[in-house]
Amino acid sequence: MSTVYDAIIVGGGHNGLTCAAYLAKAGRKVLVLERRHVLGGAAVSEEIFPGYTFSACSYVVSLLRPNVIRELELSKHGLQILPLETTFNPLLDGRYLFRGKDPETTFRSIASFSKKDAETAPVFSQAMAELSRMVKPIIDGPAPDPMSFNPKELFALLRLGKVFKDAGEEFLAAQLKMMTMSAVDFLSEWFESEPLISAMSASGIIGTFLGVRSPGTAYVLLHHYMGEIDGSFRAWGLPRGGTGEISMSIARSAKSFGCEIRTEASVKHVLLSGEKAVGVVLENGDEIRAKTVISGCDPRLTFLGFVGEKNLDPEFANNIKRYKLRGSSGKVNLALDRLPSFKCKPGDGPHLKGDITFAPSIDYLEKAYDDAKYGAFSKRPFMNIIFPSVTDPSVCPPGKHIMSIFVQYAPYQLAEGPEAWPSQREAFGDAVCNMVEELAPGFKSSILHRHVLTPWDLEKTYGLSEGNIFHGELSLEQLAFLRPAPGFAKYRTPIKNLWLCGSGAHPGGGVMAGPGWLCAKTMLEERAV
Amino acid sequence: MSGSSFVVIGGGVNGLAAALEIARAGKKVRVLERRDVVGGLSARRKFGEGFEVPGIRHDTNEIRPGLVDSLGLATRGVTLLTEGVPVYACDSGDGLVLHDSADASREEISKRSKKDADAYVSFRGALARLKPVIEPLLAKLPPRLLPDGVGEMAGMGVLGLKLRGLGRHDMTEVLRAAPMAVADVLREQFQTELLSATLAFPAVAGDFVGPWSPGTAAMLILRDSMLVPGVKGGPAAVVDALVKALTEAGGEIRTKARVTRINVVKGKVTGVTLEGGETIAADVVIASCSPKLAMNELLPPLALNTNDTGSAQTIRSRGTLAKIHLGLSEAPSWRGRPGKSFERVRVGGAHLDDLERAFDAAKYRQLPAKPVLDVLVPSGGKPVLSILASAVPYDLTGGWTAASKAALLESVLATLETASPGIRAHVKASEVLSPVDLESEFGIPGGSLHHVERALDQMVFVRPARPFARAATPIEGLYLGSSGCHPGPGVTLAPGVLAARTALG
Repeated sequence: MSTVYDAIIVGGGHNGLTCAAYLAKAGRKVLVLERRHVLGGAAVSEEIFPGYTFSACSYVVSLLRPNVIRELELSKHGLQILPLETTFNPLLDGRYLFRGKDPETTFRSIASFSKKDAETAPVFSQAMAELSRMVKPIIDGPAPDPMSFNPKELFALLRLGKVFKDAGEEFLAAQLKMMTMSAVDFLSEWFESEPLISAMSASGIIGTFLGVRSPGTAYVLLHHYMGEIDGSFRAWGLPRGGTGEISMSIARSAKSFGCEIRTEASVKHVLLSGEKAVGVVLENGDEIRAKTVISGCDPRLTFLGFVGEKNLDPEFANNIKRYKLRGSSGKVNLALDRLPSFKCKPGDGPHLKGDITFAPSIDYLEKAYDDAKYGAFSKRPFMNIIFPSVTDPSVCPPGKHIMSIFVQYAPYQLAEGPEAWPSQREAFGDAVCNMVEELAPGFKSSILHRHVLTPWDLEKTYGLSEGNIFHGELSLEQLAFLRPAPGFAKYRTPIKNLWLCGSGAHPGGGVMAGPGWLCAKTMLEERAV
Repeated sequence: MSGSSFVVIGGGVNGLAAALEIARAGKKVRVLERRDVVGGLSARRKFGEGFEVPGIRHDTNEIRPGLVDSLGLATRGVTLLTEGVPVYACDSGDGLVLHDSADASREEISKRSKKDADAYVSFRGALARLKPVIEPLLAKLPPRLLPDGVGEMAGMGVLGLKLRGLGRHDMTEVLRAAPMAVADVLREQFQTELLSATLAFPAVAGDFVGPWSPGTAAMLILRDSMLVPGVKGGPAAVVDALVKALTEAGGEIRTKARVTRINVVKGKVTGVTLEGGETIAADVVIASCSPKLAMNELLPPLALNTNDTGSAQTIRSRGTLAKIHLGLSEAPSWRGRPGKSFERVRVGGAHLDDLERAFDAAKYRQLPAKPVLDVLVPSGGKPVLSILASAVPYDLTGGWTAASKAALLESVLATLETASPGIRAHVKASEVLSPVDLESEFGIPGGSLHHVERALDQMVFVRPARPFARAATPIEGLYLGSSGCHPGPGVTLAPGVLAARTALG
């Protein structure tokens, strides 16, 4: 093909598609190249078994940027997010916690463990909302660089400084605690009942290689509190048709602006001319030229894979080599004949309609983490469970159900090496199903189909290096101005005309569309495309 | 603010240093110490028949030489060493002798990895470059989280410029490394596991963390960039010199004087009450005891407002060290280095995972199967081993009974045997101090030898907690100056002196 595009986007994940849509909307000639037969990356809906559409990887949405929804007209292109309004926490001793939108139910449930905690809970939520409000602006713009003397940077920093100053010292100290404490320690300053602390602290470890007692997990709690859907803070939602519908609605939007999208088009490497990116070369040998190349893949795949270490400045290559992407999670997707009946709350009910988190105690969660530290999957895992079919019957045949289980921990680096994962896949799936069986006897007999994704599968099938779902851990040393490497945190890379728009760029992972949008915005503002 | 009478609660090194600073300013000062000897965690301690260890603590390599000077301690028995004491780290082979000086360590490390020997030089070099930036921070009250006024802003500005002056590369490396787990940072530098584990230990020992806990790299950076060779005779020598100097300056020391209440009237300190009921009036009270004790147990109810009470209550001080003293019939010998003697030995921490597994046990309130031991072998006097064992839980399941202490002693001896076979037979006397023992004897709630855990949210600007991080407290006349304050923990002398200087105005 002799067409020269303005931009080629490598990877049709939700960020790549978002970047493409914004560039196409600005009148640029854009081509998206997706290796798989289906778009979405890890935000994908797949009919893994006939009649059953799974959110194969990512399964809920919360942080999807409202401005992206609005500016790309995603609702018009089919995006519909159904709220997930309750959280059910079954415990091992027959008790449970059930919290939801109804303050009365929530109060009574928490009070069954501690009346004091029940009274504190709304105060805590309010405090978290306040803290999130302060952090939120940071995810809606490129990360300011404290080491630059560039006046624009200094101004951005001064503005941030003013926000801090206006917030006051006490608030700032609370923010500092939030950023540095462990989820358990932080929550223990507010609450006393272990089931509540344990259930809440679990959200601090999602996607991390940390335990609930590890410093730095309180901050991740906030990340999950920052969600807004239709204006209401901290609401998780289910995209109708599965998470893939987010990516598909973005793809439709992109196409409506003239963007070209090709699937089953696997990029082998970036085409370089001297030190400039001038296009890509596909696995089949085809060369496609473009003025800019934008990668929606993770930094390791992008720089060590598509560019090649020998084409990189040694210091930058070193920074990418030490960029941490330790995968720690797996997924078990099931087609069920019927919903399970939990021992602690038998039968059907509203508790099956929302989020179900199995995090029965702090020690339980820590022991699950310990297994992973030393190279094994958790024998007794942490699980985050959704039955999307209860809220969205469109995903499977009537009367049947889909169960999505997010599991931690499943370390990519097994003691025997990551290549041992295929031989441990079934055992991993069994450990998960056995745990559910313990909580809901009879469950195993309802399984029609089972689909297990280990970190190895996340890497091989979904292109996530080491199976890390965030394109790189969201730890302080690789966030903001350090993500993915110092000096290259604003979507530019050291290779001229090569840009990064995926979760390995600010503001990081999760189905946010933030990096995709901000990369496009930066490129357009700097007239780079 | 200079009142006419000063009282210092706690006769540990910080309390004595605070009192000395006040006495040298010509004011009347009294140190009140609960035990029958001064020195606190740095006090010489006798056990068994004629055995003695130079303190619960081992290190004096964080001491501020400037303060040794200004307090006149050099002429009263504090001899600053010119060279640090190397650590002999044991493993199943001949182990590693590690010096703070990279050059001195080169030969040893090269035996295992030439690449690591070079990397160690770079590593020490980087810390040395950081020293001039960090050191000034250690001689002053920490900056406020939010600078107040031009003076403080200028101070922050200077710090910022100094950091920037390190060069973009170094500055980035520091900012990047600080929130990381020390194990991750060390593994990026070194291939030799024993080297990494040996360097990691001081960054984590005593706190509620393992080497894989984020934020521990900051502790390594903070501590290692303030290292000096240390003092001859250990912490006890520092205590002796402080007592001598204080007495000569006219300060008073009362032992067996346990303070049970800091008296406050209308937001102002009026003095203290001792166990037994005696009250002592004072315009200024410096609490050099654990700040957690002072602000939670010694203050009367409602002395602090709700927010500050909350800040005091949430200070974390979970200790994870036990102290074991062994009196020996002969000096120890080390299987890995026959014929050699060492003053400082590390046993059981040959691999970063050893440190992590020991912490795992403490997390679950259990005794570690394989404790990691920091062993001091003092010279002079009858042969003893002064051992800090990591990690043990304060809240051991079932409590710290005689049986559990015996079990701990057993696992310590078994661990020692791996490095010094036959040492059991030489043990003539022993003493085991659990975190609970340490708490009750030294008045340190939680049993933390650091008074307050080292954690990113309890260091510098916020040590021990935001409202009390700059010596003064919301109570007029009450100041904090202990290991639980900046720049503690450790035998630095600085918190005590800073509290005294702030009180003197």
